[in-house]
Amino acid sequence: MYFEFMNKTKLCAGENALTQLQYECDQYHIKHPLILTDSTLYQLKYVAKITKHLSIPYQLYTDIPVDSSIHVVKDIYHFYQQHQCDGIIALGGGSVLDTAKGVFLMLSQECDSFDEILGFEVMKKGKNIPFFAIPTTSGTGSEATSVAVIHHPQKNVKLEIISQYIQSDVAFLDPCLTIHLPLRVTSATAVDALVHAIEAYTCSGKNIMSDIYASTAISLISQNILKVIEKPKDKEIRSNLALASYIAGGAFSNSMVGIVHAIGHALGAVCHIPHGEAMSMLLIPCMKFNLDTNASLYGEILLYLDKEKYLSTKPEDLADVTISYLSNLLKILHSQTKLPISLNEVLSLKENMDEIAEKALNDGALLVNEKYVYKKDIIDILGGKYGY
Amino acid sequence: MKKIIIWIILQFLYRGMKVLYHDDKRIRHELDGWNQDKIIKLKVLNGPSISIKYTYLHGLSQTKQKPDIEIIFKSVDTAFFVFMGMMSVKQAYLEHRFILKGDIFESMRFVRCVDLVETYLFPSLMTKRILNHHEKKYHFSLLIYLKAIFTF
Repeated sequence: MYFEFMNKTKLCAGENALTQLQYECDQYHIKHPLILTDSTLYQLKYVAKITKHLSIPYQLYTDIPVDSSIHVVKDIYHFYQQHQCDGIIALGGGSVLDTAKGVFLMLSQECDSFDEILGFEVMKKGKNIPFFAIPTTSGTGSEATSVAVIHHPQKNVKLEIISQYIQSDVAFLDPCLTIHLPLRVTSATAVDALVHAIEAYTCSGKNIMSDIYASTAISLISQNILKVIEKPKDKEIRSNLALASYIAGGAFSNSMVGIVHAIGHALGAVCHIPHGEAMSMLLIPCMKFNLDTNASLYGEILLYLDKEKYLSTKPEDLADVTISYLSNLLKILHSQTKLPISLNEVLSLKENMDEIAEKALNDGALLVNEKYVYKKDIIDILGGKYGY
Repeated sequence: MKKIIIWIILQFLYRGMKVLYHDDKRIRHELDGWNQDKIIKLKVLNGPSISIKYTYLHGLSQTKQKPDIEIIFKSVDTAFFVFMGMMSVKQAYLEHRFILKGDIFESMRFVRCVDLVETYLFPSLMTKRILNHHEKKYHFSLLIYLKAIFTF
């Protein structure tokens, strides 16, 4: 057996993590950073939450859209050079962080074209550009991953870059940034992190290191996901979920994800379903599809979800109980936060089923799903053969 | 010696795929799905390489043009394992045994084609061990071998 594992990001996690920001800037010789964020976070004064801890001049770019593209990356790349910045601080959700990664790569690789950096482990170590990630949701785990996904509007596909040099230098997980997240977004992003961990634990790329990360993330999420609905302003619970998201990111960045993400990416691209919601709709049907191949690993997951339930369940029932446990969890989240959990809620699903299946089939995530997936299988899942 | 064997198998892989484009509708469907010409280069670091051009709706040929997708195996040994049917492309990907330049989404079609060609070119005992799925053969492997030898 052979595996590789990479996680170089320094983690500043917990209350007042952002107070360390200036110190870390000094450590990386940053004197004029470019702060990247989106207009919503800017209007909600999230930028002020980080700049109050900075004592150096900075440049601000706030026009990153929800569905960022290679054009935005190139625009920021020129903006960075024009203003002679010397480091990147990305503040936001998955779109902002992935855009920042694209900019970081173009700068560090000193390339003008995005095509030069596309692919899997193509790049050699480039120029040193300090890159700090400050996530404002607890789901994508992008601050910990070696992956960036950026939209190509002309091709209408998400381009994927996988490189060990893409991980942020420092990630700040401060609960002050997630404490005001709406409950529906909170539950959708937490489910996204949970799916990262579950797929990391069960896909073909798993290894002992990613298992440690994935199982820890599953435990942290299961212990905190319902608590956060009851006490959304609790900083410890928010910190735990942010940490779980980071850890799950570290897990799937090394083991990769599987069918839930492959179909989820396609559902997002074609029907514009938010990623976390797509994960909530697809998790159970995809687990049922994978059940004959992954039964043993699904059974093990129950140990991390609910130890008592695991100990009181017959070994042969473990996998089914895991699926039923997760199904109930999603139903609670649906009733309490209006999180969509059924594919029936996707209005344009039927007419787009073939396009979604075709896109999912060409997603790299499908290659590492332990069970081989044909286009017909994806159509069966979308068509409700496995429930929902 | 390994480099020579890899070069021979790369030739067979290309020729097999070229034949099967016309003889197996699954491969035709996969490659036609690109909807445009595409050049794929398979290369072994410090070893042999082959550039395959897919011409939309026509089939495959060898080329020296710049590739759209380039798969580079990091070592001769790993490439030998893959091309001798001892390791699947999937396993090589999981073990970071190659790098891929270009669009990962577009390369998936080629990966599925390699699996199908291996089904014909390798004994079933071998493919059962390295592939997690069974693909039906619509022609005898010997026929595909013979056609591959005499195709240019």
